[in-house]
Amino acid sequence: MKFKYLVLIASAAGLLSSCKNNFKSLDTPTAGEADFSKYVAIGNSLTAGYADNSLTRDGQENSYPNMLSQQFKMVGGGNFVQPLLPGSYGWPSAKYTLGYQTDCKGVTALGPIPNPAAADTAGSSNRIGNIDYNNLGVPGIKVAHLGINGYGVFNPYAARFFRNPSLQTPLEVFLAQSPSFFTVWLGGNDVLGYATSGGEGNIGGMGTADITHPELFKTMYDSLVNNLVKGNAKGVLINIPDVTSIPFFTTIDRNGATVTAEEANRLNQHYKDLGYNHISFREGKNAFVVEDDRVGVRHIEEGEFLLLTIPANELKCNGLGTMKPLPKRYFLDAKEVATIREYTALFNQTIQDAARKHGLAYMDAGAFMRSLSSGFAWDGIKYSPTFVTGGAFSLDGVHLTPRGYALVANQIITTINTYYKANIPYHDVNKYPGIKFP
Amino acid sequence: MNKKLIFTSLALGIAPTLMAGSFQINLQGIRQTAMASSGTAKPWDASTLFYNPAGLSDLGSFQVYASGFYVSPNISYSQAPATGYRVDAQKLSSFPFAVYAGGAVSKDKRLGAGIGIFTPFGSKVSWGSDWRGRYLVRDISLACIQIQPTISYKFSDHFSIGAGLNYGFGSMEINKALPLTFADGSDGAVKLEGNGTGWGFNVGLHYKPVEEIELGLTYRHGMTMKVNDGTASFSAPHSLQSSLPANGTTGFSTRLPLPHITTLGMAYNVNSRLTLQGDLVFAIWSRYKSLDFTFDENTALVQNSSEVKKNNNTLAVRLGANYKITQALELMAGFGYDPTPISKNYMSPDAVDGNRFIMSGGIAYTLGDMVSIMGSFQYTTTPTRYATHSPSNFSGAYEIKSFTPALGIAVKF
Repeated sequence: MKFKYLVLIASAAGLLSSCKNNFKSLDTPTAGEADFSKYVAIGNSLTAGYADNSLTRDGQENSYPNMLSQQFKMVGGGNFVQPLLPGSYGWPSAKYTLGYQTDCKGVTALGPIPNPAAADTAGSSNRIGNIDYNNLGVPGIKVAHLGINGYGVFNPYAARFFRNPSLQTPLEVFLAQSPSFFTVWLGGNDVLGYATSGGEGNIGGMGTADITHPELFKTMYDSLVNNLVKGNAKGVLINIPDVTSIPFFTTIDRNGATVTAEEANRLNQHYKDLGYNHISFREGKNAFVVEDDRVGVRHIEEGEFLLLTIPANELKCNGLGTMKPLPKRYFLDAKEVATIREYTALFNQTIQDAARKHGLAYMDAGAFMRSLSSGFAWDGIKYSPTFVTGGAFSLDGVHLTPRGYALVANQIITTINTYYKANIPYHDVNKYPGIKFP
Repeated sequence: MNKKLIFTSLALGIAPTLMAGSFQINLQGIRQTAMASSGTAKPWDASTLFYNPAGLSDLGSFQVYASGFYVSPNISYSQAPATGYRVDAQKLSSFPFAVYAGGAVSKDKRLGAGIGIFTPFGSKVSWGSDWRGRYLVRDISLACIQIQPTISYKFSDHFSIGAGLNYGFGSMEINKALPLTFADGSDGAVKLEGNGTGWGFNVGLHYKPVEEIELGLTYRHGMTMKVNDGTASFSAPHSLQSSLPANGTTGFSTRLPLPHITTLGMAYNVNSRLTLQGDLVFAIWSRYKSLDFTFDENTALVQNSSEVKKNNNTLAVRLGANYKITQALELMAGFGYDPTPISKNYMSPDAVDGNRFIMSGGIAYTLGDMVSIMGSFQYTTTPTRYATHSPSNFSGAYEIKSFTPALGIAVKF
């Protein structure tokens, strides 16, 4: 009898002690078929950690390659060294923060403004090109630039950390190390400059606003990848998203010309007097008026984009887009949009071909951007490409927030896990703050 | 700047943490708890009011019954694959109880009547304010009390029926972070609190073809708890105040449908000392299709939400044994398996659940045929469960373990 009680009490006590959760059978991280012991990231401003219209130490620390390297450390990854700036105010110009601005109509609203704090960039331009860096992201660089000797002389970001800025090509810098694993996210600037200049550049030119010649793109991109894979390195090639889907082009409403009935009459008369009978304003919202090569002026149409850089006060108070047609540098017309998409597709074909040829993982950043547009959720937050409040894009409308970069890092991890049969844990996106509101 | 602030989906979610799985629904009687919550076929005592209202007439005498439970589950989250990131929800205790008064009331002992007051669900989980899933839930607290007036009628020594009416009232409070960052880097937040009520009913049959065999069949119609006067209070950076309801608060309404449950039970009185019993419990969870919040005031940041829920109907198995060592002293033991209704891709940390294995035991001592004192425990454990909450893309591994002791007293008149 008494013995039975003891058994009962003892087994109850045993159950109590086994009340702790232990996750004994949980999966552990694995590297799969890849070797992460030496990771090198090659790319442009997105790779460098550029955000809020500038490069900062915070931004570099929150770059997707740095986040990836932290996850890689769980599967044999090594040290990851970045050419860190000394401060976080922005270099060479001040970064944007959210602040209040009063417009020409006396309305005070929240928007991106240059950081009012003193831009303490002492020491930022010091050359630190005496060691090999793992993050080789160079803001502004195009694939077209890869073979330019002395490129570092023209690009202050490159000048900071290239070993020999005046005598090296970017290609030489990118190939100077023998990584076991690499990511390449290049090519965005080969079309973006054309887009952000309102399509004012040329096809096949080498200028900032030009679209790179597809053959030059292919030659340079292939020579980069052909050499990277020597020594059996593995990696991920990331393609170019449709740049017209970023807030820089989608924020200003093309039907944002709001006028009264009286103003509409005056505008219609004005354009009639000039012989433009096809310009028609009505009370309320109207499509802005833009310059056009063929017909002189016209309303902007569906599928065309206004740039975020249009001076807002000119729109609101000085008749830009209504009485004064918007100059061509402030918008992308349908033909320019088609050109951007055509060349983006061509460049992406080159990237995908290279991945296929060398058996490398290929990440469709364009597909990721599209999923963002349709409402992309991660760890309880829904992201969208909406300017300022969407959560993923920083205050310049082109580059990402730390959370946005963490989402990219996790997309890359998904790509690696699938392609290289690895099991790398995702990065904690919610660790990073979103855009800070006053 | 674009003034139309996008709704960063509050993705508000309350869900039935303590309703899913067995020990939440079925901590309503000590002997039954000791036998893995089986007890539909045999009217052990006044707690049959809950387990099978038909048994009330079979009690013979009138009884008063009281029991209390100590619930304090261990719920843990781990990132998967393992990174060392793990959160053990703060251990919060709740004290479900069940009180019954009932039995045969007519002279011929055919008519039974009674009333029960019990806590069919209730939950407290706190994951902490800074954990990774804070935009889904920081902490959640649900409480519900049901009152069940019940009658039964005994047609013969072999067959009786019973029915009860259920009125439930409860409260909810949910706190979660909002992805609206203050200048100091901290998160915005929302608190949702409200009271709800609901109506339901239950019916049961008790059939005893021979002395050795007893059968029970019950149906509990799930009530829909309705919250009509809830209050949502928001905290957000100053510059976003204009995108929130006036003064940062608004009323809301929501509803939470509980499952319809059909139970088939059988008891085998092996001899004068030993009884074996088992229940098959079929729960229709699929009626819980979405969790909808309707706010009195919709603004740029706060809009009515609807979250799809994908719940599976479940079939649980519960087995128990009662052994009389003496006329006064009884020992009980049980084993059960409760599959989870929450599908793998729709599990939120505000309602963690997995397939539960239940082990239980208990003891009862009856003093002079009048007063029974009972004690029981249930131990439940879930295997490591990998799950995702698809609407918010939150993934990880979960484990739940719980040891629930209970005490009760039954007095016969």
